[in-house]
Amino acid sequence: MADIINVPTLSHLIFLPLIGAIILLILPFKKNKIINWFSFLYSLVPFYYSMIIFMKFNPGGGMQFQEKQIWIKAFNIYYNIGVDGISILLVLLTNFLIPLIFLSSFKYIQEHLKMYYISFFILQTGVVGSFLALDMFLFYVFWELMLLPMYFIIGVWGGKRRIEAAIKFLIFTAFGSFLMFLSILYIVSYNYFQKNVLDFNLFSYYNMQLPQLAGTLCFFGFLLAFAIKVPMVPVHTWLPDAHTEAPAGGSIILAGILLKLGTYGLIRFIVPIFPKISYQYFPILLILSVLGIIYGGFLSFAQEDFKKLIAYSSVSHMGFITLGIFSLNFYALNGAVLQMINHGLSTGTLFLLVGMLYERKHTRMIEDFGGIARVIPTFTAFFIFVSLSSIGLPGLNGFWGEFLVLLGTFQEKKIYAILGATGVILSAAYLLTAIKRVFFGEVKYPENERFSDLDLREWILLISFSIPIVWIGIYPKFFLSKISPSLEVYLNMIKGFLK
Amino acid sequence: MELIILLIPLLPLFGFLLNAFFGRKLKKEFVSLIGIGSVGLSLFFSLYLIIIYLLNKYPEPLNFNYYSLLDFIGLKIDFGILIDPLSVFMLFFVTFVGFWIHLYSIGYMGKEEGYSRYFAYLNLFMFFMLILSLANNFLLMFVGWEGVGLCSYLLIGFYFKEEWPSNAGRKAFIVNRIGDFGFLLGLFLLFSEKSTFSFGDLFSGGEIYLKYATPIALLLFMGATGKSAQIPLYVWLPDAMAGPTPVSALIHAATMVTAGVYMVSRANPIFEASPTASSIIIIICGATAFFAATMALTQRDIKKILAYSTISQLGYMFMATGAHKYHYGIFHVFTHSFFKACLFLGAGALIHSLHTNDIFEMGGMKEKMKKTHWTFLFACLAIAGIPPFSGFFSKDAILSSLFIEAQHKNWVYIFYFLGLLTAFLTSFYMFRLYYIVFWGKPRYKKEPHHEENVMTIPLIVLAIGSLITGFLAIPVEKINLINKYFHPFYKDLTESHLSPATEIILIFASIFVALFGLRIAYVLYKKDEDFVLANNLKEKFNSLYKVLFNKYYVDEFYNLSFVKPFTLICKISYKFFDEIIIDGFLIAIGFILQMVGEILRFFQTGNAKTYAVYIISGIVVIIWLIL
Repeated sequence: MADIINVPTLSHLIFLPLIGAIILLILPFKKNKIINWFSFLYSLVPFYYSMIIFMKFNPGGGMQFQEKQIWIKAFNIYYNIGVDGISILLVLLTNFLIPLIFLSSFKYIQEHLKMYYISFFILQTGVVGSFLALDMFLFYVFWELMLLPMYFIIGVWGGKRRIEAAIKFLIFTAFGSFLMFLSILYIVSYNYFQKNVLDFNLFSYYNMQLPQLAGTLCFFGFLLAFAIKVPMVPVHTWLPDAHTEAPAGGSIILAGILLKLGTYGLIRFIVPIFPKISYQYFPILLILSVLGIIYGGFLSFAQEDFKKLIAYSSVSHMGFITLGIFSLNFYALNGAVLQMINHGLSTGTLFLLVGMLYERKHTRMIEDFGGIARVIPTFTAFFIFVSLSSIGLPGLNGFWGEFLVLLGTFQEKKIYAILGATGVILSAAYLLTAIKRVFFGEVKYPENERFSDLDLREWILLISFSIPIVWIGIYPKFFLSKISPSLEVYLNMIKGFLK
Repeated sequence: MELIILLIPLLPLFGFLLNAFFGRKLKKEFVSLIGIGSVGLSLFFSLYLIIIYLLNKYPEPLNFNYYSLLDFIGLKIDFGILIDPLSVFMLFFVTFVGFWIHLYSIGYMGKEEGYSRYFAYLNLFMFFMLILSLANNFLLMFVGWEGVGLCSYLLIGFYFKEEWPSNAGRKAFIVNRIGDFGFLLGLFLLFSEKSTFSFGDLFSGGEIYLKYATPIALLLFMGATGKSAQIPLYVWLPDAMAGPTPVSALIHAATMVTAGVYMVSRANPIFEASPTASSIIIIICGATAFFAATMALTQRDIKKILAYSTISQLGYMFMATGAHKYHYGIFHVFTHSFFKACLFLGAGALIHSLHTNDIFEMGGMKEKMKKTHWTFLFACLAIAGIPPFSGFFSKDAILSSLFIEAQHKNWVYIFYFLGLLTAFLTSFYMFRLYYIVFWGKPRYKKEPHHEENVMTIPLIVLAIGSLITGFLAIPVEKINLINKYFHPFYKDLTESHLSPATEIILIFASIFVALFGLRIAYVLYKKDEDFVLANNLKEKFNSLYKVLFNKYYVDEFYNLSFVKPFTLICKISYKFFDEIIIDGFLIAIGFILQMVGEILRFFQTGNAKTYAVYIISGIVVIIWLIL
C-alpha cells in the first residue's frame, strides 16, 4: 500500500481522475459545498503525483515510467504509456490547472454541480491519457474520451449561445477525429500488408514509407485533426465561439490544455510519421503559422467582447508554437514546447480574470466597464501583470518561449521570423488597448463602483498562477533543462529521416 | 564583492516588492523610507564599488555570472553583471540622480493618491535601469530595456483616472515595441553570425568582423530610436509628459531615454564595423536634434518644451556616437542627466506651486521661489552651453567630434553647422522659457505655495552638478579626464585630431551661438515685458508659427497613415474575412457534414465504451475485408 502511494505511476495519473468521477457518481453528496471541496481536494492528488513524477523525471532518460501490457490481444493492441521531455510539462500543467479550475468554479457553477466535476474528471483522464499514450489505438480512445465532456461543459454550463457553440465545437473536432481515425486505420492496415503484423505501436510508424498519394492523404487526415485542435488559420473559427460561450473553467481548460493536444500531435505524430511529406508542406505550414500570428492579432484588436479578444489572441499565440515546430530548429522547438506551457498559464489566467469580471457584472463587453482600476486596484494589478506575461515581457514566462521560437526560426528561415516578430507589437497593441478601455479613465457606470476587489479565494487562485509565470520568467532553464534533451534526440531523429 | 554588486540592483527590487504588496497598509513615512532607503543603499554600494574600482590603477573589467537563464548547446545566457568604465559611469549617475529624484518625490507626491504605488513603480524602474546598465549580455540588457519601458508605461499612466495619461502610456509602450521589434531582429542577426549574446565574447577584442554589420547596426539602432525618442519613433516622448513630473525628470530625461545611447556605446564595435550605419545615425539624429529644437520654440507647456529639448539633446548624443566619439556621447548623457533633471524638477516645483503647466500663466517667479529660480538658471546656462557650465563642455566636445569627422566625410560639415544652429535654438528657447517664467509681471491666478526643503535640496545638488560636471572634459588634451578615463575602453577612438587653433575657433563659435540665442530671448521676452515684438513676429510668420506649434503635424500624419488604416484592417479582417468568408465557408462544409451526421447520430451514445466497441468492430470488419 505504501508503495502505491509513494511511487506513483503514470497509470495513477490517468485513472485517478476517472476514479474520482466514479466516486462522485456513487457517493450521495447533496450539498454543493461538499461536492466542491471534495472535488477540489481530490484533484490535488493527481497534481501531487505528477509533481513527484516531474521531480523523478530524468531529462536524459528518453521515454520513462513506461508501462506496457497487452490490452486487446486479438489486435495486438497494447496499454502502452510513457512520458518524455515533450509530454512531461504538459502533464504537469494539466494536473496543475484542474484544481485551480475547480477552485475558480466554487461560486460560478450552481447547477448540475456533480456532473460538472464528473465531466472535468473524465476530461482530465482523456487529456493525460492522450499525452501519455504510446499506442495509437490507446491514443485514439483517450482522444475521443475528451470530446464529449468538453461538449457538455460548453453546452450545459455555457452562456446564452452555448448550444450553438457546443455543436460547432463538436462538429469541427469530430470531423478532424474522424479523418485521423481513417488515417490510422489506413497506415495500420498498410503496415499489416507489408509486414504481416498487426501493430499499433506509435513508434513503429515513425518515418513510414507510404505510396505518394495515400501518404499525402493520411498526412492531411492527421494534419486536419490536429490543426483544428490548435487551431491553425483557417480552421480556427470554432474557437472564439467555444471560448466565449464556455464557462470560465471551460475556457481555461480549452486554452490551457486542449489546444496543446493539437500542437502535441503535430510534434508526436505528424512530423515523425510523415517527415518527408511534412517537409514538403513546411513552407505552407510556416506561412499559415505566421498568418495565424498576424491575422489573430488583427482579429483580437477588432473585438468588443473581452473573452473573444483573448480567444483570438490564442490563435495568435498558438501561431508562435506551430512556427517553432515547423521551423525544425532546436531552439525554436524548445521555445515551442515552453510556449505551450506559457500560453496555458497566461491565457488560462486571462480567462480566469475575465471570468471574475463576469461574476461581478454579468457581461463580457469591454464597453460595459471603464475606469474600474480605482474600484478594484488589486484585480487590475493582477490583470496587467498577466497581460504583460502574455505580451511577452522579458522577465516573465511568455518572453522566453517567443524569443526562442523567433531566434530559432530566424536561423532557418529569416522571413518567417521577421513576420512572426510583428506579433510582439500586435499583442501589446490589443491587450494594452483593452486594458485602457476596461480599467482606466473615469468610472463610466455608477453601478461599477460597487465592485468588490479580490477575495481570499481569488487571491489564492491568482497567486497560484503567478508563481509559475514568474518562475519560468526568471529561471527558464529549470524547465527547459527537463525538456531539451528529449527534443535534441527528437530533432536528430527527424533530421535523420529527412536525409 | 560579488554580493555587493548584486545588491545594487536587488535592493530597489525589494523596495518594489515591499511597497507593492504592503504599501497601501503602511504609513506614508514607511513607504518613503522603503522607497528612498533602498535606492539610498544602492547608491551607497555603488559609490563604494566605484571608489574601489577607480582606486585600482589598471581597472580590469569585472565579470560576474550568477546563474544561467538559458543553457543550451551553443546558447548560454547568464544572469551576469559587467563592471567596466562604461557601466561604472552609468551606475554612478543612475543611482545618484535617481536617489535625489526619489527624495524630491516625497515633497512632490506627498498629497497625491497612490503614494505607495508611485514609489513601488519608481523602485521597480531603478531595478530595471540598473539591470540594463550592468548586464553583461545583450539578452539581460533587453530584460532591463523592456522593463524600464514597462515602468515608463505604468508611470506615464499614473494618473489613470483621466483619459489622456493612459493613452500616452499605451502609445509609449507600443511605439517602443516597434523599436524593440528591430532590436530583437538585430539580436537574431547578430546571433546567427556570432552565436553569442555575451558582451565579453563579442566585444572584448575591440574589433568585430561581421558580414551583416550594417543591417545589424541599423536594427539595433532602430531599438534605440524607440527608447531614446529619435526620428521616426520620437512621438511618444512629448505625450509621456502626462506622468508625474519627477518621473519625467528621472525616466524621460535623465536615465531611461539615454539607454539607446548607452546601448550604442556598449555595442560600439558593431557600429565601428559599419561606416554606413554611423553615417545614417548622424543624419537621422542630426535631423532629430534640429527639428525637435524647432518644435520647442513655440510651445507653451513647460514640460513639453523640456520634452522636445530632451529629444533634441538625445540627438546630440547620438551624433557623437555617429562620429565615433562614444565617450562624448556618454559624457553628454552624464551632464544632461544633471541639468535636465534639474530643469524638470524645477518645472515640477513651479507646477506644484502654481497648478499649471502653461508658462504664460507663470511670470515673475524669481522673487517667489528664489531657490528654484537660481537652480533653474544654472541648469539653463548649462543646457544653453554657456561656459563654465557643464553643457558647454559636453556639447562642444560633440560639435568638435563632428568637425573632426567632417574632415573624412565632407558632408558632415552640414551636420556640424546644423548642430551649431541647434545650439543657438536651444539657448533661445531655454531662455525664452526662463524669462517668461521667472521675470516680468506675475500672471498666475492663485498665490504660489512655499518651497519645501525636501524639494529644494535635490534642486541644489543637481544645480551644482550642472555647474561642475563639465570640468571632467576640459577641451585640453592633458587634463581631459573623460578622455583619460575612457581611453582604455575606446582606445584609438579617444584621440583628437584638431590643432589647438581650430579647437579654439570652434569653442568661440559654440560660445557665440549660445550667447546670441540668449540675447535674442532677452530682447524678446525680458526687455519687452508685454511680448509685443514676439507677438508681432508671431502674426507676421503666422503660418510658420502654426506649423511649429503643431509640431509639423507629425502626430496627425501618423494617425492618418498608420493608426487609422491599422484599425480599419483589423475591422475588415474580423467583420468580413473571418465572420463571413472563412466561417461561412466552414459552416457550409459543416452543413453538408451535418447531413451526414444526422445519419450517424444514431450511433452516438456518448458512452466511451460503446465507442470503443464501434471502433473495434470497425477494425474487425476492415481486417476481415482485407483478409
